[in-house]
Amino acid sequence: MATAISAQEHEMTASIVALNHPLPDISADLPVELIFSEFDYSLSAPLVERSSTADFQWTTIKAEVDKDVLVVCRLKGSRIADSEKMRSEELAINFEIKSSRPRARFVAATLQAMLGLSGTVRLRIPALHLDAPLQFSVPLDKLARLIHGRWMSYQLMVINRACGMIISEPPQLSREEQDRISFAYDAIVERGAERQFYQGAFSLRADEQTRALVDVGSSFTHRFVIDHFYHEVLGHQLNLGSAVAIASNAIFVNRDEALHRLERLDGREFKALIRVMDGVLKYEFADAPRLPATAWDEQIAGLVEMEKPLDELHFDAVNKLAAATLAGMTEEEMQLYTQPLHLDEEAFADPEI
Amino acid sequence: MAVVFASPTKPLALDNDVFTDWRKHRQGVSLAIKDYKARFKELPKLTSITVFEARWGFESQVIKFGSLDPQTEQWRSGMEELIRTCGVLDFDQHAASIAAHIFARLSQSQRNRNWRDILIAATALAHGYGVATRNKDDFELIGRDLPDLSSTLYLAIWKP
Repeated sequence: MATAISAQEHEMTASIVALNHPLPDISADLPVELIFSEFDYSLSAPLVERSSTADFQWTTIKAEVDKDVLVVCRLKGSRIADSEKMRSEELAINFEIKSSRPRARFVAATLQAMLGLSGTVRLRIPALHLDAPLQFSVPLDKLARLIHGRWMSYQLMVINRACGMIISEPPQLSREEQDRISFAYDAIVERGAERQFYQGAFSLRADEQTRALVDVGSSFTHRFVIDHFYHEVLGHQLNLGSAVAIASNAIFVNRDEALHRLERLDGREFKALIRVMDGVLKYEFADAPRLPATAWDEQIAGLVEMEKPLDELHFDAVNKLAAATLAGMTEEEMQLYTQPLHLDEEAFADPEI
Repeated sequence: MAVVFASPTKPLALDNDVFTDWRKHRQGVSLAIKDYKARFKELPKLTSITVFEARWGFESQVIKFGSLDPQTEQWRSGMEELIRTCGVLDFDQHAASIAAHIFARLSQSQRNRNWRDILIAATALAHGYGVATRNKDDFELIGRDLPDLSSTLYLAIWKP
């Protein structure tokens, strides 16, 4: 069996209120079931590993929820003296990921976020004689990281599937790497993407059309075609096909120099510095790779659909938290805890030499 | 060297006024943040300047009374969780360079009035973020004096 390359950030625990049941039967072979009624989603995961300490204080069950993703359930309890029964106290759940495929991270992050945002999850673990509705308490900041991580993994899954590539997902992504992934995802799914852009040198033809643009002196839209748009994602070159780049609200930075270059309208190309006042360069990708209509199996398709409910439930919880940070304050307290810091008039005086 | 309106793909940091509007449950800001989160799958960031301002009121009470009463402690702890959940952009060396560039080009009264906005704008620029604010005029003033390497300040105007 492959070694786990990572466990998700933290275990999630749920208290079990005084549940007496027979001692774990670690020879039982029935799958673990997770039933998320709030999300109308359930899954059944075959057992792959089980172990128990001699005193049954800890019993660990591992079940495969997807290829390379294990759910690890650790039941904490105590044996009831002189009986074949035990009292369960706490169930801890974590996920082990055995590959760096984006799909493995996506599955683990989605399920973990669902556990954290479900009011209750019904867990059936026959080997532990456990069949109970459980509530997991997960901090909102951890849920924020899970939901965002899930989104990055999903975008990489789409890129891999559409481009026929196998790009692995590193444990951490820099902001730049995230931006590059999102750009490729937008090109494939939205058929268009944007880049922040201030100014740059563009090739223009010395002809009447360009001369007219410069003569007018006001802003214009500059469009140009890139025959083969290559885009790097995590060290892999993606061919996104041809692209039309559109610089709206553009101006010549040095109009006089452009006019000088246009003294002879001989059709040759010259470089002109163009500033895009909107700060954005837009690209249209008509023939970028496409995601096949039946890209995902049933399990992944079901987890993809969790995007909206996960996002909304998390936002609602954060929004309530934001309001709670001032709830019940008097006007005076509100003033004290939200007023901007004022400096006296002498602050930030010019340095004297 | 310009201020432009942020396109929907530009990641944003919250100005203090918008952060306070959100905590006051102002509908316009809550909806803008909800919409942002649906697009980016993450919340807008805070800057370390906003964290400083959000914390100093509590710290001044600790100094005054020795500790916080349970209710105030709950407010503070909620705010700390909110800060962690949004994530914070640090005022780092790059941000400091941008802020110094802007500071030197403003008058003393402009610095006095806008010091907080300058530090927030510099932090956002250093990390490749725009700023969500309701305070367009002051940020436009700041945007007039940006250094060449961080030459465009992207603004989203979120009204309460």
